[in-house]
Amino acid sequence: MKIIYTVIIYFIGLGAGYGQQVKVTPTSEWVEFIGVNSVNIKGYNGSEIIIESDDEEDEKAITVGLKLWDQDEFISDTKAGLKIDQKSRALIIKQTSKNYSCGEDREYTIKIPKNMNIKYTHSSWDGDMLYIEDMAGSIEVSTNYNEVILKNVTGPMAIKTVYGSIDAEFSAVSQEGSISLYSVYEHVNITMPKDTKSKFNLKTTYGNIYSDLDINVDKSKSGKTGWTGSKLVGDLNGGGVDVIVNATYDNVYLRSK
Amino acid sequence: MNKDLLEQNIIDYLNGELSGDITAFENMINSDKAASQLLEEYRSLYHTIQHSSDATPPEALDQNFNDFLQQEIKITTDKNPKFGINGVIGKTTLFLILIGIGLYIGTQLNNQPEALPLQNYAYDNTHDPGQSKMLQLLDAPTISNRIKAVNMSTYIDNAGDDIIQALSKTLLTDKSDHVRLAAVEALGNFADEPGVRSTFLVAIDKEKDETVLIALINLLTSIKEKEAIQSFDKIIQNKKSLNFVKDEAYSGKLKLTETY
Repeated sequence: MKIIYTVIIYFIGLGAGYGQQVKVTPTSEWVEFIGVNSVNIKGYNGSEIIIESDDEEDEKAITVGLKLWDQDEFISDTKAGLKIDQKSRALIIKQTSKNYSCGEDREYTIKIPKNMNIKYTHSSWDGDMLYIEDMAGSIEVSTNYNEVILKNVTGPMAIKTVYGSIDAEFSAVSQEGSISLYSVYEHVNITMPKDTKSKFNLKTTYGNIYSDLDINVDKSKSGKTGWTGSKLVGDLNGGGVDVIVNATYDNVYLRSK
Repeated sequence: MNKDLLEQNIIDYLNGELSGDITAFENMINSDKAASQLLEEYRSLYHTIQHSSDATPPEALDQNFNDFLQQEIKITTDKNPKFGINGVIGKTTLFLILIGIGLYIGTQLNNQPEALPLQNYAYDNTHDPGQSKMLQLLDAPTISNRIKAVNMSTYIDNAGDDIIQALSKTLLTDKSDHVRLAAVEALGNFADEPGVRSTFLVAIDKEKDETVLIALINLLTSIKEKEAIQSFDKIIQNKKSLNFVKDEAYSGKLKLTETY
């Protein structure tokens, strides 16, 4: 029987300024973000998950003793608007309350052990930016509006977005699993070391494909698709990890680092 | 000569078929008064037959005879009510045979392929090892490996039915929307294979993920599948559909309707 406990986080103000921090020790390999509008995730060599928020202190006093109504339940949350659940499969981090100030939602900076796996889902219109840096674990992203920026990541990963672009810069590319990047209405921009061993399957329906890598193109499987589409199948440095990219209405950029 | 033999000889004589000495027979007849009289009676009878009109029975006799005939027929069929072509079993058997023929013809004429069955595929290591590896990897626990498996179909030349069925099953049943999305793209390479289009039509009616739905809409539009129009209408009319999905469905419907 699983023992599930809910850690309700009270952000304690430090004076009158910004900067609230909470630390959680994960018990699983996965951390899952649900509906967190704007988040910067950075991998590091520690063992704890460290959450920092840029929310202000003003709201804290007036909400003391009150519970927040979060769509279908009351929860004890007074500030940063996160609900954190430690479950057996993953540490769940869910944004509950919103704090729009001058049109900007609060941002979170979260440090995560770099070998942990990340899952991020967001479907509503207020999805902003998802920034992930220095991670070596698996990354799964499913979002409708977020712009996705990946830096110094290795994969494997599966990322899909509807209205957001995907910019991925690889330090080294893991040969495990696959790398799948899919954007419906925006571009996909990939940067990787030119000595990466990989197999490419690139496709766009209404855009173009650009690259400066020395790709050995399989011409029997590449070329024009439909009326306006373009497809490129080939390998780099003899082949390796599968890199599958699709930008339906925009361009695919594949460049060397 | 007895009378029966005499009558037979007279008949043969009158038909011109009497064998033996005819002169001796005529002398015998002329010397015997009774034989001569018998000959004259048969000669008169033959004359009457040759010169009389076709005889028709009286109406009453004709009706009696027909009634008698029908009674005989009825008695004959009632004796065997179940068997024979007019019996219950005979009619039932004939009916079943006709139904069977009709069904057979119907199945032969039916060229509307069903969605590919979600049967289990066997791992056949004697096959192309690439195909075997792909099929095994489709059951991997991680999403990235299942996507890798789906993508392997791109590099398999002459992919068989087991590959197509496996991709169809993945599209319809994999729990990850990332994997289902990859399956849409991969299966699109086999859109002309039997059953694949039907699989897409089944998939679009059950899919919930917005990105996968858009991929299906675009694919069905690109392969000019007019059967998809009603699926597009369902999306458009569904209040729960997100606006950008409805827009894609509407755009797809316009393309299928106006162009084709």
